[in-house]
Amino acid sequence: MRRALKALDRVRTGEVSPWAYAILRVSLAVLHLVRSSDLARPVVELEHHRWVRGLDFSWSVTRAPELASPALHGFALGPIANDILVYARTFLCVSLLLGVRPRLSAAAVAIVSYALLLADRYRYFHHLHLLYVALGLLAFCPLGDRLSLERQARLVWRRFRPGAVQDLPPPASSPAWSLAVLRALVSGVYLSAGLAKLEPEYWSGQTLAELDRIGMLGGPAWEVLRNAFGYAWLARFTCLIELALPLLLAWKRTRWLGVALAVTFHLVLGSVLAVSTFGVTMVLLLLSYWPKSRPQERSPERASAAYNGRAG
Amino acid sequence: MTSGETRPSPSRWSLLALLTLAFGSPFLARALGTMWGSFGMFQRVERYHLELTAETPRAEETVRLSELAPHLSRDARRLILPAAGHAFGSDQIELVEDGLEDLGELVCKLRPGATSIDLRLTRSTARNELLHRRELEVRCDER
Repeated sequence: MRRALKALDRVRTGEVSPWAYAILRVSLAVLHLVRSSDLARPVVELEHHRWVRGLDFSWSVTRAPELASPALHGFALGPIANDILVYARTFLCVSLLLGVRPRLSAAAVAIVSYALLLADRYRYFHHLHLLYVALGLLAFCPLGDRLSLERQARLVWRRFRPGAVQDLPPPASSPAWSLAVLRALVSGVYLSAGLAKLEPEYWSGQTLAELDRIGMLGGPAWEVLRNAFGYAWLARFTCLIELALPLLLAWKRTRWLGVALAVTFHLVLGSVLAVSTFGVTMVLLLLSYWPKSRPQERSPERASAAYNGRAG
Repeated sequence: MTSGETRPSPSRWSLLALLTLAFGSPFLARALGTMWGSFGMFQRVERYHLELTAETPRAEETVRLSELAPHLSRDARRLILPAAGHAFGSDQIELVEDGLEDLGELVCKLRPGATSIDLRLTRSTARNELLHRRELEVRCDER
């Protein structure tokens, strides 16, 4: 128990480079903008472009009366409320991307996106749920220490205002505990996905054979893997990799192996199966395994704040 | 708040609660028997087929799913319309099953003369072995 509490305290007081949060923030915001629209269509053809025209979840019923089937009882939205939320989601994504009120933007974009998902049960996808939960958890992270338009604007404003107090320089490190929360999400997702596959139907390779038969699996990588290992072993590998990843990622010595295995796993999976943004989101969340800063890398102002009891 | 410099660390228990929530939510979903947030992806492939019948005082009329298309959202169309035949699916069949009552209510509105709507969803394995049949009657006169 004492060791567990000590470990928890190490998580609470650890520090990490602010770039970890900045890159996560920018990349997840870009990913959400790309997934919730067909903005990228002129550049690259993505899976969701097959059904998304303009902004995703825009009102698409063409004749009244419409089917109202919210996932949360009584939460159906009308066309106006629905489209207002769609535009609000886009605005908040841009605000998160630019680093304007980033934590508030992250929380709001997660809430608005989830509200749209709950308003129509048929909108649900695992990859969207994962993206929204990740964005919600970003709201607990110090997101504005780097690549923040708001911080830059404040600095410029103070520079040109006569007699203004100089702003503090951006901190050299940020608290690491919020990354631990994202790591917990990553481990939970892998473990749950792996446990779900411990069913005889999947383990025997029958599910992969059916997915292959109905054309959901394909591509050159799939042909090579199927011919080399067969359905049953591929199913077992997939399940075992998902079960092993949380362990490999949890232990410091094997973490690099865990990250490398996870990235390879998602690259292969993305090339053989239509998983939309699931793999990309998971790979981005692996940034939460960014190594902690050594104690001497603590910024002077943070050390001073901690000394004065302002920060932990 | 735009930077971490003045943000205090959470208490041990707040952090533990956050970690538990982030790690445990997929298992909570599994325990509650919902695929929503469970991340049990592609664990099985199923076929599903949906039949709708409107009961009127005089007769029983089959409702074609394609009639519903203009009244469905894009996402609902993607899941419901293929069920006229024998559609393949995975987790999302659960969404169709959970939404049967709402679908019945829509058909009541589209068939003002109907007294009730019968909905029959058949779920079978990809090799067409019956897994589960759900039958639901939505009474129109109560709405």
